[in-house]
Amino acid sequence: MLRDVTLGRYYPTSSFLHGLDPRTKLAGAVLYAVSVFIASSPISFAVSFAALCLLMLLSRVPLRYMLRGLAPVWAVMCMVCLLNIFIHSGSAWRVLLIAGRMVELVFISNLVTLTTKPKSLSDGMEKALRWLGLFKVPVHDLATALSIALRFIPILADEARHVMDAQKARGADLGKGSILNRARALAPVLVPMFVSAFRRADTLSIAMESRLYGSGKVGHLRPLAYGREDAAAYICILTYFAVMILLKGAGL
Amino acid sequence: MALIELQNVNFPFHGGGGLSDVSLKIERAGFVAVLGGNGAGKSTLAKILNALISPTSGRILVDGREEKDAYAIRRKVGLVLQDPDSQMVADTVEDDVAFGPENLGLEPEDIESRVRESLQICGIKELAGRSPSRLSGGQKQLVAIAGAIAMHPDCLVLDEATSMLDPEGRRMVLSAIGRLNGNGMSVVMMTHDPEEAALAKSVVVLDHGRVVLEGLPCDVFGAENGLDEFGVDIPMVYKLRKALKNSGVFLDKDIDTMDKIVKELERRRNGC
Repeated sequence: MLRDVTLGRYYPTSSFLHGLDPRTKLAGAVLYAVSVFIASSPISFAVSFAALCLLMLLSRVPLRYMLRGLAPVWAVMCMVCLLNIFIHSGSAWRVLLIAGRMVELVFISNLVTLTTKPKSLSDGMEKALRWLGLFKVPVHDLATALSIALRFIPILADEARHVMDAQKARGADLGKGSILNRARALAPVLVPMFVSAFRRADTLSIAMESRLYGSGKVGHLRPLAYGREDAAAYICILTYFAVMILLKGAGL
Repeated sequence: MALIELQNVNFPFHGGGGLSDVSLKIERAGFVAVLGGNGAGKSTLAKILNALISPTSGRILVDGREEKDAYAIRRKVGLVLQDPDSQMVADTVEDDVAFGPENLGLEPEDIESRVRESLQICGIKELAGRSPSRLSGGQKQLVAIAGAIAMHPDCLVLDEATSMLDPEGRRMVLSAIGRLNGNGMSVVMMTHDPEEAALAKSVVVLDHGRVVLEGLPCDVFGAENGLDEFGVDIPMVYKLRKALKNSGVFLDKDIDTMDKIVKELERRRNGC
């Protein structure tokens, strides 16, 4: 289960999307997410879905790799659909649309992290949100926290596996029985995980402070700079967004 | 004048691991091994040398002047910790080594040249673009050392940096440390392994937060009573010397490696 977490993982290839500036990708993803909520007719939904497929092809990340990491998301999606059917007694199209929107949102955000290194993602966020610094928001610290969180997902997943193996070796019965039993069996896994996560955080903070983190100065090994591809990408994104708005305006 | 000097430093800590009345001098290009068992205060000493914690009493002199600015001390003293995974900040080797220079606020070209130089010195140039998760423990520690020396410190403090490594990784890290020291870097190495401590130019034995012995490896390890009472062992060579002495074979003080002992014994046998 945990082994297959691809959420937030970087998939190294050299595609057009990988080469873009992280800010372009973030802006694109945000606009795309907005467009997903604008689209409510079959035609506009089809357009947004086609755009997503095109991006997935462009990323050159194998489809299987993307799907594998989304296993936990499917469960949530089924829940939402069921709730919609029973509580809002929505039409078939409505339920389909909501499921489709969730798929699109999950995939677009997954595409951003798959094609962007955590470090450049946080650099991008830092630069794009620098104006928040005017309101005393610690943008640099938040961006650093984000990149560290992304970096430690696989490490903690590995560790969870070790803890589970250790419990199994001593006769624990994980992953069997009813859902309630399985949830209960997770407690002895989660407690040592928390303890070790805090210990790691402690060590990491020492390592960071000893390398002068918090001295107030910030430099960059590779400062972000827009290239020609980014201009092209922005034109495509804005065109797409304009099309979606026009479709909405035309009542489609 | 010593690069760093601790004078009567105290740092009380409940349940072991504190320091009491520790005085210590670290010379330029010196190589000090701090030997001690669990809870002897090694990690606390490492953190004090890096100004991550400040002692409750006592003075810290840098180049003979009392230094109060923690950042100024951290700039002069690099720190490498025990756990290879938890001290990596970034997702590629390059970015991790760049973390320190970035916090110095340097220009991109300067950061890049420091990264390249540090990786070169540690002999891991070819790992620059790799993800830390695909490295061996020894390689990860070399990256951590590169990250520390990219700040151009005068002194490197290693807090049990080899204790989680396999023999090959340990060899790699120790040889890198030896090279750095040869190039004039001061090294302070916290360890519980007497064999490692014997590589240093001087040894300090710490027990319950106190400096109980201090001197050249041959003096510290050659002490009549041994180090058992302080919870640390002595290196194999010194055990052998002691055994030989008990059976009436006296060796000169400078015969401090297995090879030298073998040669000396062969020489004596042939001489007889």
